[in-house]
Amino acid sequence: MSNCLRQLSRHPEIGDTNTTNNLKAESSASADYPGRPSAMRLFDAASADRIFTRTTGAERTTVGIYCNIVPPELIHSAGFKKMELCALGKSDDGTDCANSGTCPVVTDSLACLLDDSCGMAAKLDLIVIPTTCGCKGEIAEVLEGLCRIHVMRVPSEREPEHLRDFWRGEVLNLFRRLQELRGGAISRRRLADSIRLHLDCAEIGRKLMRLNPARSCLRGSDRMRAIGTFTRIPPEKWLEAAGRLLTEAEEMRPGGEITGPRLLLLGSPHHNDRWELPRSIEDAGAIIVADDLCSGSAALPDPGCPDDASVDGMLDALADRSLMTSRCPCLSPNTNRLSRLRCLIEIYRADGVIYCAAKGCAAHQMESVAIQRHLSAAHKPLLRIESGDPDSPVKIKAFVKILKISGMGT
Amino acid sequence: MARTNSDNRDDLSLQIPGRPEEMDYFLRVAGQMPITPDALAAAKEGRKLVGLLCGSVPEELVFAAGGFPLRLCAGRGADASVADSLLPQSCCGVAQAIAAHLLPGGDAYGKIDALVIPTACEWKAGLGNILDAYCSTFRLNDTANASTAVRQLETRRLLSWLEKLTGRRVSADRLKWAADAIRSARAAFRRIRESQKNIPPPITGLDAMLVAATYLRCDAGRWTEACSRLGRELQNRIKNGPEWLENETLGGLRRDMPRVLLAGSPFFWPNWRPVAALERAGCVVVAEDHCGIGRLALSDHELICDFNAAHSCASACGIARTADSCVSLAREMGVQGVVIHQIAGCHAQGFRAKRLAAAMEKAGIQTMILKAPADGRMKQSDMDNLFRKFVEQLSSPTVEAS
Repeated sequence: MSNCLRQLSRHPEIGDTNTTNNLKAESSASADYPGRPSAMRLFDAASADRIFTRTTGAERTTVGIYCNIVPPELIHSAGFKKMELCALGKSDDGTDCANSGTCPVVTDSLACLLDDSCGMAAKLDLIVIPTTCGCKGEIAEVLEGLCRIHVMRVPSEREPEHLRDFWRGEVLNLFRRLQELRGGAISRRRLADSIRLHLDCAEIGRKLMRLNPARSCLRGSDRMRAIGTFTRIPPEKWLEAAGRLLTEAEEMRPGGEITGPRLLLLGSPHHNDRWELPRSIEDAGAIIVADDLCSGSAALPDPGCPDDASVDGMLDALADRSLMTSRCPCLSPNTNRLSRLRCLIEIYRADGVIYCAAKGCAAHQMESVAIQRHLSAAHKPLLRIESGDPDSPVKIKAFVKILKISGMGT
Repeated sequence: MARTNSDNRDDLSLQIPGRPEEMDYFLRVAGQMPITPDALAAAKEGRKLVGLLCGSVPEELVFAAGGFPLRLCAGRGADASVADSLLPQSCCGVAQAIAAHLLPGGDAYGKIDALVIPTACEWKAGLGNILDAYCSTFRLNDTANASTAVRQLETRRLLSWLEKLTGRRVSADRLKWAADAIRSARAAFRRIRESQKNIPPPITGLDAMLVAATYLRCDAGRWTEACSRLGRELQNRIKNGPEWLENETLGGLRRDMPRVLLAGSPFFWPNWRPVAALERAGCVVVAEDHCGIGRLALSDHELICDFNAAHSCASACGIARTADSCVSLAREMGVQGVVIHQIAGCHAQGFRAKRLAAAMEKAGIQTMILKAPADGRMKQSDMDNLFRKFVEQLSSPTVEAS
């Protein structure tokens, strides 16, 4: 059985006999602390789901997306289901098309899409690929002919007005493509409703972020999981589940304050092993007070605020929002990333930062150097690790221990 | 072990039999790179030294604004211990070499007034965020397939930034003067490229690459003069008939040598051991289709804003264009084989090497994918074996027939 199919069988909504067991195994791994909110169940299921099919909900057109810079409001307003494609499966097959050192987020999903037995490529009605990094630009070419592709060319800077205009044009092109796929116009009202729904999601997300993980029954890793699965769950469903989680987390208080160094988690998105890293940080005795990963808290888009209620006005607002608030280090110079880091450290009173860059992700690898220099000037400790490094748990333990010895988190 | 510049010069300024006399100038410049006496003299005169981190930056604009363009792309070779300690291990060798020059302790540290960094390559864009601390930087957005209007706006933005940097307003006449000067340089280089079409070419690939590598490292006028003189010398060799082969190249070049094209990731001075090994294996490199050549190969009708018109950088254009450009250049130069260089860390090339090879094979041109580690350093014996086999394949009549 191919790797992709193995993962397919684990899909929580497919309902084969293995699924429930696998899901239990995934859930039990995370439900290892007392008082964990029961509302985490849907998020556990979605995070266990590495691969998505149209086996259920096949009535909806499915649009695969490769990056959070694609405004999800557009896909939702068209009535389509979005599907996150980054690191769909875990396989070495994708390296056939690339170097062995190429970003696993891209090669894994490529392997899955190229796997005929899985038939993933045929199941997707459209794949939207923003060229945030060189690898994504390349996969667009590899996949061309296999499935319907829509490439969004992302400018590498956000300040110059003509580049913002360029990006607005790209968002408009996507909107037109979605209308074409839908076979009809997307009304102003549909778009406005979708923006409103995503605003509500962002509001709940902000409230979850405001929960103090030291005084809440919701751990930082779970908060990341809840917000990070936004890309995998339809927004209406997510909103409902996140609302329940928030209520539960606010009502249930742990006996006392959890102690430990307060850490901020940054770096490349972790898809296959996205929950292993946060878990190993918490297992080492630290508290994840916040993260800025696009597979974590940054999965939820910032609100788009249209100046006017016309379709053009709303599209421009979404384009500006997605470009201006993107955390991606592919945007250079990325000075607001550093100012955001300063804010996060201040707001969440972080004692240190863990930066995990994916092997093969040039943008994050280089950003980690800039962040290291920035943090050393601010006298904040940083641990740089690389995804897939088997020594990471040991390094994390040592880092947390050093912070504890230095009197942090007591 | 860290190697010094002089070490590299020893094994790279090969005693090539029958090297053209006019190569002296280029060898001297190569030995002084990256901060050549011309650059130092320009700085003394008050001209701003503008470092270019990619061959796609329109150098005409820097000249027109009164700056001195200095291309800083380099091959791993110089002592890069500072860069090694700072940059990730998987970082591409070119970005490491640039960082080694520009970071504290490097030979260009503190000497460059400003940098123009195209953002097509993520390593270079990331490096820009680090180098921001040392000098003024400009990001040139080279979005793949962007319209001409977008690129024109980007070009204007670069020009205004340069005007502000140098304090000199660029008039249309001044821009025309700069564009003409660059056109002359390209015309001089084209003559060398034309001479390489001859069978055998009157110059080795290593020498021709050295000529291109010294462009934008020294005074453009002097470079053009030296290039023109070299072009004349090569033309004379060809005019002399077949006897020049024995008399002037001392048997170093032969009619039956397989002709090879270099494509893929760039080869930068001083990390040219692979090229030297390839030619030692018995073939001759007659052209390059990688970004190392910069805008030198541009034709006269290209626009200033056509950043990547001269070569097919994997970060800035699609595989179809890369393959077309490579196939047409291979046909124009009459090559039998293409060496596709794939340096670890250059992800875009990593993705397309096999597809490029397939496109070349389809066109009846044999290929070899040369996988190099991120620092560009391969074991000499491995390289020799690989190249020997490839050259044997190219020379074999059965393979040619197939």
